[in-house]
Amino acid sequence: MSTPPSEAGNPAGELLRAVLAGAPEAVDAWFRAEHPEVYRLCFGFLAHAADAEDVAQESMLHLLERLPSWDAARSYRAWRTTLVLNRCRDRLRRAEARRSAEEGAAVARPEALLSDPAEAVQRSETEAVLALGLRSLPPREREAFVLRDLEGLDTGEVARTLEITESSVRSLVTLARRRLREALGAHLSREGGAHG
Amino acid sequence: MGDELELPEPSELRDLYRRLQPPPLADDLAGADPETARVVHWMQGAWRGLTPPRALVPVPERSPSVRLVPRARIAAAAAAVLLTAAALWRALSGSHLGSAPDHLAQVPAREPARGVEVIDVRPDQVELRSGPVRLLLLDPPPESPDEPPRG
Repeated sequence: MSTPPSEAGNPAGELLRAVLAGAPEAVDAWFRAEHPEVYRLCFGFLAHAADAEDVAQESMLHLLERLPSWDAARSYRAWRTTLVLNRCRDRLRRAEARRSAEEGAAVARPEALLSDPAEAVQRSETEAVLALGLRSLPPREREAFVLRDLEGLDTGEVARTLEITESSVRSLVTLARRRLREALGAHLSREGGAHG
Repeated sequence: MGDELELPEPSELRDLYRRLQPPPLADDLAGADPETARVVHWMQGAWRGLTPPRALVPVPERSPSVRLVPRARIAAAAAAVLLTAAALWRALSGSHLGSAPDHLAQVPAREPARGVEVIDVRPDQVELRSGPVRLLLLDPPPESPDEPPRG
């Protein structure tokens, strides 16, 4: 591997080199810096907090294991996103049958979800509504929306990550936004949009 | 039906068709309607506010101390195998000798240490000497029936 670039949003090249050298304190620092990002990606792709926690932990270990094979000519962020995306897709495939049985009732309206006392805490409620919105999207739309609107990648980066055309990305993002408006618009209007 | 619309030539139609441009997709959120933009902005805020769970930071696997552990295990396993093999070999050798008592009988008994002489043997004592050192082995006297039992 050549010298890692120090691009915006990436861990510093020096830190990556130290991680690759196996310095324990560097691994610790890298892990703590990367884990929140990876968790958010997993949450976005899986729309399920507990699964996101599991897959984020697995993905971190996988990233650490695969880091020596990362080609520094490629964006670290794109490499990481692709790897995490693949882990999430694997999890979704494995869990699809089980999930459809267990969470048949989870395709609930937001008001039903929020009437649960356990969801009364503001943060939990926000996460629950976020998950509900993401869950209302088909997987491809969710991936495109997470990468484009939540992660803030540009259309070209999303297209390369998902291996689709840029026009497909635009279509998926547009459909996802429309679907989210239908799923959450009424609820957020009633709540006065105070969460955002 | 004399007022039918006169259609252009197919080649002209094809040209028109090829020049058609789809309306641009709203890739930028600024192009979305206000309600959609509000929902997406809310999602973005909630996304940034996500609190990740505590991460389990691994101990690097490639540190030298970690690498020593398998080596130590291998060394211990090798030593155990060697010891077992040696014990087995001795046992087999022993059983072979056991089947030949004549051979065993020919093994000379260990000689007593040289220089130790028995000086005196009595019913209650034996006196030995090795060079300048004398050793007196005494039998304890029989316990008196009146002696109190020891603690």
